[in-house]
Amino acid sequence: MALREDALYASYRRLEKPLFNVLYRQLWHVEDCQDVIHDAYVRVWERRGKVDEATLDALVWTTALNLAKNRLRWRVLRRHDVVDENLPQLMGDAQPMDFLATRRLHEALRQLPHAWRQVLLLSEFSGMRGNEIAGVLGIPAGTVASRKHLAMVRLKALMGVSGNE
Amino acid sequence: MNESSQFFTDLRPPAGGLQRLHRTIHHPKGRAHRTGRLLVASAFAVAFLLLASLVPGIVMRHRQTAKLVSAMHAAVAPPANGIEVVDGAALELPSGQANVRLYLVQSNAAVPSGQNGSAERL
Repeated sequence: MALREDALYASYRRLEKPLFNVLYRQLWHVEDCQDVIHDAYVRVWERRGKVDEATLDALVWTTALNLAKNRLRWRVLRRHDVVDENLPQLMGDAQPMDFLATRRLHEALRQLPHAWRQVLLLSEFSGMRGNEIAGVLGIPAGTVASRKHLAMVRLKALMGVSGNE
Repeated sequence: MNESSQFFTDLRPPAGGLQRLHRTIHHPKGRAHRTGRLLVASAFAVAFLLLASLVPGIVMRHRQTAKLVSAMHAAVAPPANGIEVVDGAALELPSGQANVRLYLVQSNAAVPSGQNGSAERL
């Protein structure tokens, strides 16, 4: 069952925004995010003969997250730290207050362990359920739940938000 | 709605991603070009490594040859304060006595068979 071109484009339209939102909060660089999304789809297309359309989105998520991980590893090896805050451009019509809050959130997110942050972002943006996220990341569903919980607790602490809010 | 939704703002990816993907899929030339460049770079790297591994050997052999040639020259050169041989060569041999010099003299002229060279006391 080969992957059709229109199914690939449909998946791109569906996932571009969620992928970008997750990847940007890991890579912090707009062009890197665009390249990772593009490369993930190209790789999937190159293996189109073996790709089942039913699992296409999950495959794209896994491929994109792996490519992002490689890019982060490359940066660590070359001590290449990227801080790209094109936020006003990315947030479109958002208010200045939103911009400042988002910037604070991004600073807090940077302080979370990578694995926790990844689970939190996938839960927020991917639209996948816990067991689907577990499948994409190759970890047990229970680990997804616990990492998400821990990430939220730490994020709230970093943002100065009390647990009752 | 997720508990974390209160924090996150949706970011908008820059436009043009789908067109870029469409171009790459229909004109994978760029990718082939990248592969070609990679091949050329690999060929250069292999050639460089080969050269780097061969050059020291060549230099070493050249030095050894030069040493051998100079040793041969030294061997056939007339010894200082020794005898001078015209149309031939002489090699001083250890004599064992302070007042005796022993030379092996070889003439360049045709030597009849059975007479290869002679040691003479001078």
